[in-house]
Amino acid sequence: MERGKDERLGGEPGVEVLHLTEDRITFMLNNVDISVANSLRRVMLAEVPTMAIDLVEVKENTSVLHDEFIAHRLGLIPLRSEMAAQFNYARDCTCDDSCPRCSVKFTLDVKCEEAHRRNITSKDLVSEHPDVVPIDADGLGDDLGGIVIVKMGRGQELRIEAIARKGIGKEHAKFNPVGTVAMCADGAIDLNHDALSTLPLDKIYEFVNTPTDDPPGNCPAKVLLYNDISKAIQVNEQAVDEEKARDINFFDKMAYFAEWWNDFNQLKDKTAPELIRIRDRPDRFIYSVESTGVMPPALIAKVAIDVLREKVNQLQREVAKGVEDAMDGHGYAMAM
Amino acid sequence: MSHANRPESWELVVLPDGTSKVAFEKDKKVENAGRFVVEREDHTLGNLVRMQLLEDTRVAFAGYRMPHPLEHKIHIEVHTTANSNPADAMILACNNLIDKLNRMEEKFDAEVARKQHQGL
Ligand SMILES: [Zn+2]
Repeated sequence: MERGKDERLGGEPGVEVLHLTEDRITFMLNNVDISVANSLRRVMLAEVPTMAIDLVEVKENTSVLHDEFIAHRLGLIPLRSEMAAQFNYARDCTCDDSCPRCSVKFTLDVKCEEAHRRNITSKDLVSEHPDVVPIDADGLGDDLGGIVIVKMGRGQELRIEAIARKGIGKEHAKFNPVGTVAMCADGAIDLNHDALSTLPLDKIYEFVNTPTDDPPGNCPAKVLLYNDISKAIQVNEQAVDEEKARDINFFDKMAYFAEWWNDFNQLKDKTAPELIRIRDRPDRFIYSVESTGVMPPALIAKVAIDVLREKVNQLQREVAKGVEDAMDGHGYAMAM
Repeated sequence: MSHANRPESWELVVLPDGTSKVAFEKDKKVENAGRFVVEREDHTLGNLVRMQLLEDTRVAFAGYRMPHPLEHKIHIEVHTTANSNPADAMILACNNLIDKLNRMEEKFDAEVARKQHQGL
């Protein structure tokens, strides 16, 4: 079994963006330890700052939902947060309560005058800040294209003032900018050509291109090819690259496929060799990051790298300061 | 509504008055060994720094733990050989990590720009 040529390069970390859309980025991180990969994942989940409604004052509520219910729902509405970096955390701000440097005011003032009921959605929320607004939820849920807060009957009224603040997912899940961050080790497909060549031709065709839709012996996404001339099975590397960019579970599915065929080959003879092996590549990680819509997915990853670096930077500064203080004869004693 | 028992959400993040972000406790028995107590951090930083410390050949031991899930701090234990000390090893590990993250970000930016250009 041959090893990939660029395996365990050492040195420089590398990045490869496999797929980028409005709400999702799939990228590969090369030459990093799993601790770096996992920390980055954790920061994307819990420590990328965003804006969310945090304080709600209910002036009038004659809807069927009680005040706390509505306040909770308002908190969970994703707000565009590209500008979050420019805001202070309310707890760090110099103001007493709230000010434009740490807060964005929202108002909701609706009365149902329609003969039947109407939906109150995130589109009824009026923001004081042009860039911190509820995400554009067109195509999601209601026909109106907003996130439904409450359904109101005739004559019912809702008047609310709310304040959005900056926060991180660690404090409250409403600040989490991602739907999911999936991370897995990259894989490699090793074929045992000697063992495969002993298979009858119909089985070989079945192996590379199972005609039925019947899993699990079915090769996911047809990443294997049979070359009629050289009479050998090959891995279609391009198809593998496309597939792992599309589906983070691709190598899991391949492992399932491999297990099925290896079991098949060892049915009669337990000592028969494995036909195919799916190998982990523990220095390469694939991420699939889905944004909730609060900011572009690439920005989430970028901010996460910044946040992680600042954490390390702070630790370095503090330890260096401790060493200096120890030399000056005050502060805590460092082992010198 | 009262939530008298509920800890404030910012307790996870904000350094309490009078505590320092990082404190060092020298080991009383072993030379070149000690414990960094890092306030308001968790596995994200602990595991990252530990693994980087272990790359240093002068680090004889490096480990971290969260002493209690409701105490928002970590302990990082470092034991080095005679030609280094925990503080130096920590500073070196941090610098190497910062370096790595800088290069990672540069490449990430370039890759995103390439992909966005391709998409147009
Ligand atoms: Zn303020």
